[in-house]
Amino acid sequence: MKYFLLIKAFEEKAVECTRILIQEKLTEDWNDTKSLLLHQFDAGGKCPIHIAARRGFPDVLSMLSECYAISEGNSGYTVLHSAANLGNQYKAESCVKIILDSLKDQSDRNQLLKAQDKDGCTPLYLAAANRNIEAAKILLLAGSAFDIR
Amino acid sequence: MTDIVEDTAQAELCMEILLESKYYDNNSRKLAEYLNIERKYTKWTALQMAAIAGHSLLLGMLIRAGADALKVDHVGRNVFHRSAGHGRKHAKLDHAAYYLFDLI
Repeated sequence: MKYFLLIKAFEEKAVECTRILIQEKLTEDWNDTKSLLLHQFDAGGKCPIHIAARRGFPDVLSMLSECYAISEGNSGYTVLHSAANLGNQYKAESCVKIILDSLKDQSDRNQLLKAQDKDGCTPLYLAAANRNIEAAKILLLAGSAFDIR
Repeated sequence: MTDIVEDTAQAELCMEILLESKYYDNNSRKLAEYLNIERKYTKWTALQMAAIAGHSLLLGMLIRAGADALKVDHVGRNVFHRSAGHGRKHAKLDHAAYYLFDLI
């Protein structure tokens, strides 16, 4: 229980830090700098959005919605893969829901739902493999195909 | 400057005093140099340390004061990477501390 509360507190800190960086105009050319920073890959091929997805922070994910289309390096692994692959099923459910709700355009949604990583896995496959039942239900309702190999 | 941001709970107050002090006002070039000093090995600047520690107000203060937001650390991560993924190391350390206090 204590550990859960601590994680929750740290999530709030992450949300607050990201909110300040995203929403406030910190310098004259902050919008250009921000866009550059958000699309910057680290040595492992990850953008900030991938880090947030792997940590399972839904509120941070919703703030970084402009970066959903970026995949990790050349692996084809998208933010929806990371969310479906989370070990905590409640976090997986909320992250998948937030990502799909943030995408208004149906073609963007379909692109994410059908994306396959370098091993051919779709987000639905990863949700099923990790027994994230609710996340898998949300993905199926959103139109994820279950016959992709 | 990075050490101040790292540990204390009064980081925001300390940084405010530092940034507004006469010493830096008289020599703004020196302030810019200090703001972008990197740590050994990890190459974290004060800005990245603030993001890692979760001091949200400090982030704004440092960037407005002229800290270079485009700097990356030894694994190529910038301030956004650090903000978005905050807490793993700290959560583990604090959990260990709570556990020890329970034992005592």
